[in-house]
Amino acid sequence: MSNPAPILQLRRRLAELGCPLAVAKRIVAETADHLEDLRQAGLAGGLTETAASAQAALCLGEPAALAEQHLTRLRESSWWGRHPRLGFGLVPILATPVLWILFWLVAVYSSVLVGRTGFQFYFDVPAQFGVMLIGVGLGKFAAIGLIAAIYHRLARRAALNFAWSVLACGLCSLYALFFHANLEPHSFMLGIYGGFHHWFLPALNSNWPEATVPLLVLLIAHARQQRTTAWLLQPAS
Amino acid sequence: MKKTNPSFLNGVPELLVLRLLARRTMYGYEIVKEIQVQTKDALTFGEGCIYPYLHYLEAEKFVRSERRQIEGRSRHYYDLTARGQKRLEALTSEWARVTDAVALVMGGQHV
Repeated sequence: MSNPAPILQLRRRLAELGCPLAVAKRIVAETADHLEDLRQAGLAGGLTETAASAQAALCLGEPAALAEQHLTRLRESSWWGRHPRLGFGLVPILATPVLWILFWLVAVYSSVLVGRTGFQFYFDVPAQFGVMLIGVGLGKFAAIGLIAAIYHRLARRAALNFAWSVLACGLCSLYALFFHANLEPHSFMLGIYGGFHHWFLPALNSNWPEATVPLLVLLIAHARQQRTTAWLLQPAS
Repeated sequence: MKKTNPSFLNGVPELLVLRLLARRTMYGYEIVKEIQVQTKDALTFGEGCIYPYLHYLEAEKFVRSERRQIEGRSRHYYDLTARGQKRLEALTSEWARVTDAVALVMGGQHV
């Protein structure tokens, strides 16, 4: 089905505003339905095809303004959309360490449950301790990625600009750069690097792989956004 | 301190939509046409404006929607929820309060 001019304009503006794919699809579908109903009504009223299409476009309203209204309403409907500075600037600073430790502990505990035994057994049997080390390592990466993905998801649901995801994921990346979680037999440490070289010579920091995880999340999110833009800008669908 | 009414005055389209959906399930085009018929075309607006309102009402869980295929056309149909019913009652009583207050100011004049 070809897209009438107002629908093309609507799609273009939604793409410019960075509308999430699912939302964009629904807006386009409903507006196209409405436009078709208006056109049919015009034809039933005795108008020519051209006149009916022109009248339908007029009744529908300015497509670009319509796209903006949709996105504004979407933002107003969530706390994250109404307060992006707090939500993606301040909340990640305060909540990321708490969430990170929480998710990491869940991962550690899960690795214990997989072995159906307690911490003590793991610590005392080298082979089992190795399994736990893998669980802890994976849990660390998973926790960092999951938190970054949550922030990005919240920004997308509120139809916010991609820059807010970048801000929140950037903060996650910074935290990941300076957090450490070390597991040794009969002890584990969880904390933040405080040494001079970690803060002022980040090139010496060993946490680069962890810090890349939120950036990878951003990269995937960006690719998905590009896919949405491509769908919105294609001439017909 | 007594609350002012900015959200109520902005909420007239919300009141109309909820009122219509309280009667039956409708899709966007039907809602717009019903408003035009019932207000004798007194309220004119770009018809596409109805959808941001409907999506907002859905996000607030005042209405729910479902894609249905009826007579060869697939459309989003909207239904009022129990939460929407309560919201409608609140908006209706607020509307009555405001119109009574305006009538008092206008005195004997026909509003």
